[in-house]
Amino acid sequence: MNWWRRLTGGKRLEDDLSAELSDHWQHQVDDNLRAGMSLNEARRQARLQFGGMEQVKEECRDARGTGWVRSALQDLRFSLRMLRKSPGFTVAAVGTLALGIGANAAMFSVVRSVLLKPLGYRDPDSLVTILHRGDSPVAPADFLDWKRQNQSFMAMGAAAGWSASLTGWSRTEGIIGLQVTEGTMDMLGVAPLIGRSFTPDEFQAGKEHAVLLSYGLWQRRFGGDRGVVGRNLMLSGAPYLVTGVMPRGFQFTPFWITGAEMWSPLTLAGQATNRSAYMLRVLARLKPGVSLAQAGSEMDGIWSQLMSQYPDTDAGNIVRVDSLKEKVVGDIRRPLLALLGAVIFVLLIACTNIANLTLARASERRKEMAIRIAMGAGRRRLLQQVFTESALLSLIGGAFGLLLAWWGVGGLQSLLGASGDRVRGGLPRLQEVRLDGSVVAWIVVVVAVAGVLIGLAPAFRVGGGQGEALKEGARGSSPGRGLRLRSVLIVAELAISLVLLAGAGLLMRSFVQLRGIQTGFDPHNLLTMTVSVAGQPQYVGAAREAFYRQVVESVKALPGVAASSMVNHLPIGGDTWSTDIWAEGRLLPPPGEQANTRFRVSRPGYFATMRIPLWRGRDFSGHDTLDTPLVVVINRKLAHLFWPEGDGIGKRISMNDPRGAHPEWLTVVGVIDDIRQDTLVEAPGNEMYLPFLQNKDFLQSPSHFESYMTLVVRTAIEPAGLARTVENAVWSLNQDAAVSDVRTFDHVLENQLREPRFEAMVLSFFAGFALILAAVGIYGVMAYSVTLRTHEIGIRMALGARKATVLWMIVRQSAVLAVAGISIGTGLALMLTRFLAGMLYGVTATDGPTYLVVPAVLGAVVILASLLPARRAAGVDPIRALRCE
Amino acid sequence: MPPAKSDLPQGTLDLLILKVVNLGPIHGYAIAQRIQQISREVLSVQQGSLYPALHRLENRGLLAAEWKASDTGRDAKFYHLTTKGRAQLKSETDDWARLTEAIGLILAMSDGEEL
Repeated sequence: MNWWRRLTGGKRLEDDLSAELSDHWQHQVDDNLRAGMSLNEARRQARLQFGGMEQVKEECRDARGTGWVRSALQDLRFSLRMLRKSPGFTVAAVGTLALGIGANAAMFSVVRSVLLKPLGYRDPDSLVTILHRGDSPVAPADFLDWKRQNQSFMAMGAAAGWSASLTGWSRTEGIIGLQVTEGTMDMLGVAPLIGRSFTPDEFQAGKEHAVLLSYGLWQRRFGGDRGVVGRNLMLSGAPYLVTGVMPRGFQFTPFWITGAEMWSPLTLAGQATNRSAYMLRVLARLKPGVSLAQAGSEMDGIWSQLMSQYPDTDAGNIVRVDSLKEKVVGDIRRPLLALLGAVIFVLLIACTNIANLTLARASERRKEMAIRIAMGAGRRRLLQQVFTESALLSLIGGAFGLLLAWWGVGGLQSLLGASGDRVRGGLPRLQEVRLDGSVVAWIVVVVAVAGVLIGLAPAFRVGGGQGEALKEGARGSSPGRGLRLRSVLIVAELAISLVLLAGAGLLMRSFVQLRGIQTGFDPHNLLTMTVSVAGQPQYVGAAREAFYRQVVESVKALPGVAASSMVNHLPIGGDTWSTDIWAEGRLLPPPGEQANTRFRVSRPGYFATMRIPLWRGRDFSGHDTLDTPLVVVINRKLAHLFWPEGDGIGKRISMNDPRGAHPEWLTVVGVIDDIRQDTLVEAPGNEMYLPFLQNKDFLQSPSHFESYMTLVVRTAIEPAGLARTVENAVWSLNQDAAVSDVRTFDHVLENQLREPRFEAMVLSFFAGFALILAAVGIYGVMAYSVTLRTHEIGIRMALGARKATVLWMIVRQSAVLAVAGISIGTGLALMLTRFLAGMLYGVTATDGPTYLVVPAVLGAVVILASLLPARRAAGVDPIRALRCE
Repeated sequence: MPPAKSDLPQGTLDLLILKVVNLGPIHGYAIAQRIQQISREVLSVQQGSLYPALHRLENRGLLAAEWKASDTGRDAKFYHLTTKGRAQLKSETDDWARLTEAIGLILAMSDGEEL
């Protein structure tokens, strides 16, 4: 019979054993009878000859080798009984642990999916990005030179932004995509789910009308119909052959336009000498054995050669090679690790608190333990019992924690917005976050660690001084020892709580500062969307101008619309273009020190629609056309830079070096107040606006980047409700126009605040939880201490101590703990919050107010929590306290 | 006056059981009787202590058991040796023989004799 059957045999084994032994006994009785004994004598002798029946049975059970399991089961049953007997303790402990473990698992699943899991490409660690300054796009001719000259990379590809309107398939919809150069998809090493990737032929100019769809787009628009492969889609009026569908979860690029839903070949045939159109994001795969640093230094060499070869276009730029993974998650690593650290702290506090509760119960259970020792239970057996209880608690807590985590991951995703687009403030790879095997493994580890941590303190107390406990009414020989241990735990708990509170306080203050930032315009009731005529050659020059003008006019005529205009890039979260400029009649700066200035292209009425205050001069009008002198609107910062004593109206600036052949002078006609440009947090820099009506590129260029404008609509009603109406107004004028990025500006701002809000909220939640636990902990210790000291307090009061004195005595005791915990915690916090520095805005990591308020709050909570037991102590009736002894 | 009884040397009960069971399927009571009879009542086995030993041997796979009718008409648990048990009996018997031979040699040595 194998071990498992012996373990599970249960009743059948017992029956067999009884039958066998009673058969033996019966034989003996029969033989004794035959030897002439009376029945009673025969039975008595048989019993004597056999020995103790129960003892033999027990030895036979031991012979099964399943004893440790039986004792474990016994401990488990006993533990369950103990937990059932004190439901208050059980619910508190399990709830605390479930929150601690659940938060841990949820946070870990985010860290695991975002930071630890490899990107979803073949051999993702050898993929790199090659960008100017690590984040800015690259011109086509430079890319082609890099690709030709390098020795470090197996493959190099580039992607450019693209959007098109999909027509002829139920409703028209603007779809965001990317155009990729030859070999880019192959470099990633992800095969289409169905269909094929692009053929070399499809990268020939004129044959590039092929498209790969994302799984999401395929499901959403075509219901997952496999027949769509091989058919033509009408994209912005041109037929594109669907060559395949990419697998679910495929994302490219992972750091820019992460919401791309289609990919199409990009041919650079017409751009092979263009070194000024910065339109490409370059990716490459390192050759085996080539390090990032080696590749970087090779690119430096190539680039310095190109700079000396083409100083007009290339000088002043820097090329950086970064690991793709780093590019995707580099910024978010620290905040996520900080939050993971915070949840680990929370779990530590939770364990400390439960250890404290268990210690309190251990004192109540001294008698039980003493009896067990007296009955011969070994120290090992008692420890086994203690750890069985803590493991059981931890396991139940872990099970509920898993449930909480499952629910919490969804919560985290919605808090962070699953768009996953860093440009819009979402967390990268967030849609990949889920509870998988490794998260469950993490929970198992956490549960095991928590089980040990919880059991450790009570285990310390096993044995030693137990004999005394059996004496009638004994108080125990060393009550001080339990109290000391619990005081140490409380100090630790307070210290960790302070760290969390300080971190939360800093993030909250930072968030309030962020919220309070004035954008310089009115972001409320503002609807925005991009409208593109890319791929529609008939919309060039006057036709393009007419289309955009009609769009603005027809939108203005819609009910609920107060004003409308267009700009190429929105402030905050939109694309940013910048240029060097020179002012007429001013000292010419040395090359490389020109005034770098953001520039945008706008239509008349843009400033009024955005409610950007005009400080001096005027907005563009319909009369600023190609036939009139070129004009420009600048911001106050730029005006002040060039003309500190005046306002700059009527002065002229140029975007080309005036020492060159054809300086093109622009006359300043207006100066606006400074507004936030790139992001909410960056202070305004130099900025200028060029009129659309005077811009040949925007009127005529077929390039994607100069073929779209962003429509801004100031509404009198809730802007989101107008989105469909406005889209339809655009399509009624040009049904193939690509409309995308439809959003309200409030939403744009929300996205900017999403991450800091998330960090502040999560950390505050944990800190609040820690504060409650610390309060409960200190209350428990003080209440226990008061119970222990009832007799002493009775004597003091009998000798004439006043209630206030007793009250103060108890409060002082907790104040000592508070001071210890707060001092240690402040030291720790000052060390640890430095890691938050990069996440803070307008607050330093050693922010004075935070470090004044947080310890004060914690101290106050400690005093409040100890007041209840203190009042009980002060209410002790000396006569009763002394008599009950 | 019954003959003086000896306690079993440590570990030998298993060997005796294997030897007795080797004679053919047999139940617990009979094993106890046999050991007592064969040893001419010299060896005393506390009858109860036989069973933990039997069960241990069974769990180690040296013995196997089945329930069948005994001469009394009641069902009894009959033990028999497994292949593994026979091998064990052989090796333990050899060990025992070597041990007793060595001890016998030492005890047979006359006082003062040099080894």
